[in-house]
Amino acid sequence: MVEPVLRASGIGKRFGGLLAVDNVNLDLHPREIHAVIGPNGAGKSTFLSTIAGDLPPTTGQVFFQGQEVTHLPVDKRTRLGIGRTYQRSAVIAGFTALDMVRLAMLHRVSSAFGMLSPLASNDAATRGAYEALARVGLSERAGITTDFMSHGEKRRLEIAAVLALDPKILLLDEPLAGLGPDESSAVVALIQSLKSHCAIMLIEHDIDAVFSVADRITVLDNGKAIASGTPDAVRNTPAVQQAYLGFGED
Amino acid sequence: MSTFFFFVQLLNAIQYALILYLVASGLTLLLGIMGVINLAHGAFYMVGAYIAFAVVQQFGNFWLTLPAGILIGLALGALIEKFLLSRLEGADHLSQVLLSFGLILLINEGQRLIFGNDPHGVEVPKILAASIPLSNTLSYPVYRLFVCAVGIVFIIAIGLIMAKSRIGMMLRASAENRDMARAMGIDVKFVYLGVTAVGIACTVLAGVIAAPLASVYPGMGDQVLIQSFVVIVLGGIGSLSGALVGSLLLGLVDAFGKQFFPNYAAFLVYAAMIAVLIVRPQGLVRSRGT
Amino acid sequence: MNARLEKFDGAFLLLLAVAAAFVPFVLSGYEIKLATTITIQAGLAVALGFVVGPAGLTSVGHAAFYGVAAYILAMMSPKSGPADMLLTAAIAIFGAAAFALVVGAVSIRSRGMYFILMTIAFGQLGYHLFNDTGIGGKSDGSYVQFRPELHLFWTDVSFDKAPRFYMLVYVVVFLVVGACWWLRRSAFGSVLLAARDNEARTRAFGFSPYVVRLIAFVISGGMAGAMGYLTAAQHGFVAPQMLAWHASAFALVMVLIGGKDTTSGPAIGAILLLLAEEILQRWTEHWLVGVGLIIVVAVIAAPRGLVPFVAGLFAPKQAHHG
Ligand SMILES: Nc1ncnc2c1ncn2[C@@H]1O[C@H](COP(=O)(O)OP(=O)(O)OP(=O)(O)O)[C@@H](O)[C@H]1O
Ligand SMILES: [Mg+2]
Repeated sequence: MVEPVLRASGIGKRFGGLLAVDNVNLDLHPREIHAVIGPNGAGKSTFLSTIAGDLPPTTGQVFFQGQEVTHLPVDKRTRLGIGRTYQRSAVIAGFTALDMVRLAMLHRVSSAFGMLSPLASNDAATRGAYEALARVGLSERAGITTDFMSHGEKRRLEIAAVLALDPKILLLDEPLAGLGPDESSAVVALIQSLKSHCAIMLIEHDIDAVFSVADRITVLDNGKAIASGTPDAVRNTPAVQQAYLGFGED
Repeated sequence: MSTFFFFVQLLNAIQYALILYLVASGLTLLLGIMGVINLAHGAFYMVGAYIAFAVVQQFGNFWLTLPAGILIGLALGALIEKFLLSRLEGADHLSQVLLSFGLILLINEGQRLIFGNDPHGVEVPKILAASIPLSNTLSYPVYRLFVCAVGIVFIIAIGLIMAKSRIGMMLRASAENRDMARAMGIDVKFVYLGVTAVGIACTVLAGVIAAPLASVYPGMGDQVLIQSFVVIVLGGIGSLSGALVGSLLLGLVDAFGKQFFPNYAAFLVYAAMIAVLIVRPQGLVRSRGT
Repeated sequence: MNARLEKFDGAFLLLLAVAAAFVPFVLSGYEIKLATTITIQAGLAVALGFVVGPAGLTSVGHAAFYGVAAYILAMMSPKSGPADMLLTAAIAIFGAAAFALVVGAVSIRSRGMYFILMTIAFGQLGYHLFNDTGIGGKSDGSYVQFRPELHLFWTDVSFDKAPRFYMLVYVVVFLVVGACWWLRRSAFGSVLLAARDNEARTRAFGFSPYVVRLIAFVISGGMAGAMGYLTAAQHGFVAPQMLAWHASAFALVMVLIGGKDTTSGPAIGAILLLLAEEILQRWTEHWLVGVGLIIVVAVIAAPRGLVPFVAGLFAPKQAHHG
């Protein structure tokens, strides 16, 4: 079996008295979409943040391409090839869509010296940024300041920015939340197409989307992984059926 | 060092700590409840001292200075909140820093205009003018004990108010969550007005009772200002009990530091603050209104 | 920064640079000296504006870097003749930048009011270093007996004449302001702005907000040092008050009056504040009352500063952003 690109082992995260993530293991293989689902407050975002580096885990270790990254800061992990989006839109105020994506390109295409020239004069960044914007269907909106974008546009812009990072693994936190049906299916198709060059961990409440794109699924409940495996296996796990009677509406 | 000498220094430390606490408690409430960083607090302390000087000079009665200081302090605080601070809601710390800097210039220059640059003394009231002999050479002034007494009464009073009264509850709720407090029917504007008025009145009062201890002079609040910020950083922003602990610590550092390293006493104070912030960059835990 | 504000900023800078170039030809005597002081303070304000604006660091300790460089010149100046300008300036600026590196490295980990308190504490530490200990002549300050000379290969250039010293100041401040203007527009400036708006996002883009802010802080500290050096050379005198937090607050006032989100703003703030001071001083001994009032009114009435305010006057009617 191939080495996983990402291995999270025994991850636990405690907030005061609350054990938000409890001993979760997860392997992410190349060219795989691994969905993480679970009810609100199950600890999905927290788990993702320990992998991305925004939150240090209380216990456990994170390995990326065989290297331990548990205590590496976020920016270093980004440079290694871990890209993430946020559950709540995190665009940069006052920037145009184009500039925000250029910024994401920057650490790949700019030398320290290149940091001294304006973003707009960095051709490699500009080219890459337009490509990324095109992939999420925002080419027309490149010059718009993020503050004036709709919710759906912001979500797609975030995906464009994280694509510009050219990550080896992509951590998506509810990319479909708040999108209309058309936007939603476009993003699902995009996610599907990204699979060919990076591994994806997808947190999503839209069960239909999850079951259609995921290769494997891990179910979190109360911080614990109560099931993990192929979509079919997970669907037929009694614990999951019990925990999610009616789940999938929200 | 003789035991008596040590004892006197200890008393001095406590007495200074209590004055510092009067200043710092107002400052910490302002910071904790309103998120306002007020650099003019030292200037209000000086205002208190000059009020004491002016009242004693005019009426020859020290006891009038206490109500005068409290009333002027309350009025000053209320005016500043009503006409200045309330307009800064939502502004950044830069605006607060500069607003209070502007106030410092106004107050300092106003003081110079009215009282001039010379230091003045304020006479200790007759009944408190005595000293308690400790040894052949050492004695302790009764007035300093009076200052301690005022400080202790203040600690008990404010402690009771915060813990038991409706006002204390409102303060704690507003510090916790502004919107929640509003939803609970608390008039947050009124709370802010009260906090600013009381916070500044405490500081003015501290200046009043400190006036007879040493001379009254321009810029006398500068040191107190910085030291009370150190107290707050040590004790945790918004925490009254923390401020008390911080004040006592700083009182000790100040009293004994001045004895042993007269040239470096000021250093020690800043170094203490920097050291705390190096270890805890976001300050010691913020525990609101306790 | 939006496009309109950027245009206004550039126009103001150009205007200032041209107007300032005429000073030695149209002014004389005391006025040149005043113009020199104002130009130096404008440089300090612009350098400070770069950390307060894009880097989002409300430093109330920049006077310490300014003052340390001034003291370095005073301590390196021989009693018998002029010091070597290139050497002393290099050491003074490097010293100020090194101090800024130390202060920044520990302070930038703190945010908000803690950062403010940290920078005040460091500034006061510097003040007491020169005021209380024996270094640099205690509270009396210390003298630079002779203005430093520039040793070029073939000749020594003296700056004893006021117009020539002004020209030196003009060139240095031009470089500092130009560098700040350039840095704000550069990718580096964009990273700073992004970090100011959304720290987590910027980190997830592969940049450490701490590191970029620290770089900005050190650059700005070094620039403040250059201004301190020029001040010491101009007046031939340094005093501990140059480092104290009141001096830092004064520089911040200039930044606020003109507007921290532009390069020209702080310079314009410096000019207006110092001219106001000059006029008030002629009028009354208690001119600081006037300055205090100006500050209070500026904070309440135009917290974003004059330049954005003026640019806003020319805005088209629909909603806009800055
Ligand atoms: N910074 C924090 N401090 C304290 N508790 C937190 C923090 N972040 C999250 N929590 C708590 O941890 C638990 C897990 O939160 P998390 O956001 O990971 O859930 P989630 O599975 O992503 O939920 P959702 O589907 O609503 O996004 C929740 O109970 C939440 O309240
Ligand atoms: Mg979540």
